[in-house]
Amino acid sequence: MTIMQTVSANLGNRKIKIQHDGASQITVFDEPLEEQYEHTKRRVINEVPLLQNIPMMDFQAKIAMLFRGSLTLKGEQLPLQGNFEVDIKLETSRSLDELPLLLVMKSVVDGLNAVVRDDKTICACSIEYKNRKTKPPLTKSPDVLSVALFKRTGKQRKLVQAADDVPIYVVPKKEPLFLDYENDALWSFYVHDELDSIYDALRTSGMSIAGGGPIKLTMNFEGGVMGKDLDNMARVYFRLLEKLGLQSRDVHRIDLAKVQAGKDCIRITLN
Amino acid sequence: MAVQIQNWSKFLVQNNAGSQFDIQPQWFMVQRKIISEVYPDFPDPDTFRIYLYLCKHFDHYTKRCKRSKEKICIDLNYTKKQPGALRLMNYPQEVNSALAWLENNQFIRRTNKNNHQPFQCEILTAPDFVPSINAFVRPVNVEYDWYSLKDNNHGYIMAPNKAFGDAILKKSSSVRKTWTDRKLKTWLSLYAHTWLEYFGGVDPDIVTIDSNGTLVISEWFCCNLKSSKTQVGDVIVWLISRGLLKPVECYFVHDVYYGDVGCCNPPTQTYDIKIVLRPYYLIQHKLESDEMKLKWAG
Repeated sequence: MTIMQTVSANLGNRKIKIQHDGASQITVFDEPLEEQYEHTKRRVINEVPLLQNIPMMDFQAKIAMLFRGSLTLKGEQLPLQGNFEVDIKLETSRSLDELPLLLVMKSVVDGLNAVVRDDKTICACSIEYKNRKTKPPLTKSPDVLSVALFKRTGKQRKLVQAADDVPIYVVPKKEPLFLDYENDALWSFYVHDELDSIYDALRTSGMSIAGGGPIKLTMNFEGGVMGKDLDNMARVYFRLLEKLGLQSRDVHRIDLAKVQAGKDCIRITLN
Repeated sequence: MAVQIQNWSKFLVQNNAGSQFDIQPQWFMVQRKIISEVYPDFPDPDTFRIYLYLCKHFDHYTKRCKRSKEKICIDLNYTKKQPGALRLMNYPQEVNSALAWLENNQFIRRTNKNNHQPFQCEILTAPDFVPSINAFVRPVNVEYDWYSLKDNNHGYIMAPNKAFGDAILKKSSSVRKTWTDRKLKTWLSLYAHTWLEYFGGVDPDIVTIDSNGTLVISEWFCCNLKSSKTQVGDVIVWLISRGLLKPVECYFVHDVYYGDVGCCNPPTQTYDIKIVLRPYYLIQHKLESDEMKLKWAG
């Protein structure tokens, strides 16, 4: 039987409640924090020109193409309207060190951005990693990707389009390159201080994540979250888990979901 | 599988030898998507080369490619006019079927109103490819212009016209043997990763030469070309030996190009020295950007 501990943390002038079991479950009773990525189409941040990683942009363009082509054939009007779920399966002979799942998920979702109206409309997303023991021929991709897009209506979901078993070289989300030697173009993250307070409260009360996998990570975001990006929220709490000892290479599956609710909270489970 | 370059330092750009690059005002655009592991190759060498030729001669302002079928045939050496003839009496089958394929699959659209007018076409946004049904589909709402393509993340390659002169696209067995499909695709793809202000040439994460004279090539880049590292490496060595790609020693600060070694003092910040491959043909306006004015190059 799991024993949950309740602790509190001060975030600025707010006091929030956190529950955890010391090893694999955390619930933060607060509005989910969100880390902003720069907009992918912008070429300038804080007046400093930047270059997006071309292989990543190319990968995202390929994902967009695979969906756009099929949907156009079906006569669908793009971008699609509504709320969506995305399931991703990655089978590869490469290791998770090269393919951190959260960043692969972000890259795929950014690719789908050309198909759905806004990635805020993606309210659940999962990714699963499977290691292929056999190496493909030298001219072929070491990765095989499957992506399924579902439309969400109430609690039901219906498949809109899938790209199954596509041999495509996967490129995780990468930061852009700034044409600024001092790197002062980097935006500041207000979330760092708040995250540190949550981390301190968890750490001092005995929460730590043991190394070793495979781990299935589940994060549910509840409250006034529909206007927030799922992966931007996940990025904040993934960093918290990494500080608590989680290694990205141990995470073989991630399930993210956001739900509109009266009370704000983040529920995290590792199993 | 590492590709070694023999005596590579003899190819290294020496900065006291004056300009060693050909700066070209004219450039053309080719969509990146046509070279990819999830996009089929053109059905034959003729279609690929005729498509490149059309891209090169496309006028973005009038939205027309003002090259008649006769001009295509003559420029690319498919046939010659008989002495005294005013025009070609018939067109070679390869040219007819390449143009028909490009039109049927919506890479181009004919703009001559009827068959009595000379052939004229417009280049269209390259179609999407749906592997599950092995079919091309034309994307809606994406115009074939720089802004629309960029806004919709349809990346494109900018290459100097002179780097893809008609001479290397010609229908002759010696040219086809020298300039194979793989060489043309690799040469074109290298321009997709040439960002002078950021890398001083081709992105060293795509290809560079290490201190042992070994070519280090990105796995992604090779996969995109449906080729092995050895195959791509051989092409790059060949391009270097022909003087089309020149190794240059460059200073990098925070992974961004600072200047050529020998053209400036080392940066005051922490820096790396990388060997960058810089194409011999460069696009003039790229060198004249505000960003490039901050760099020191030969």
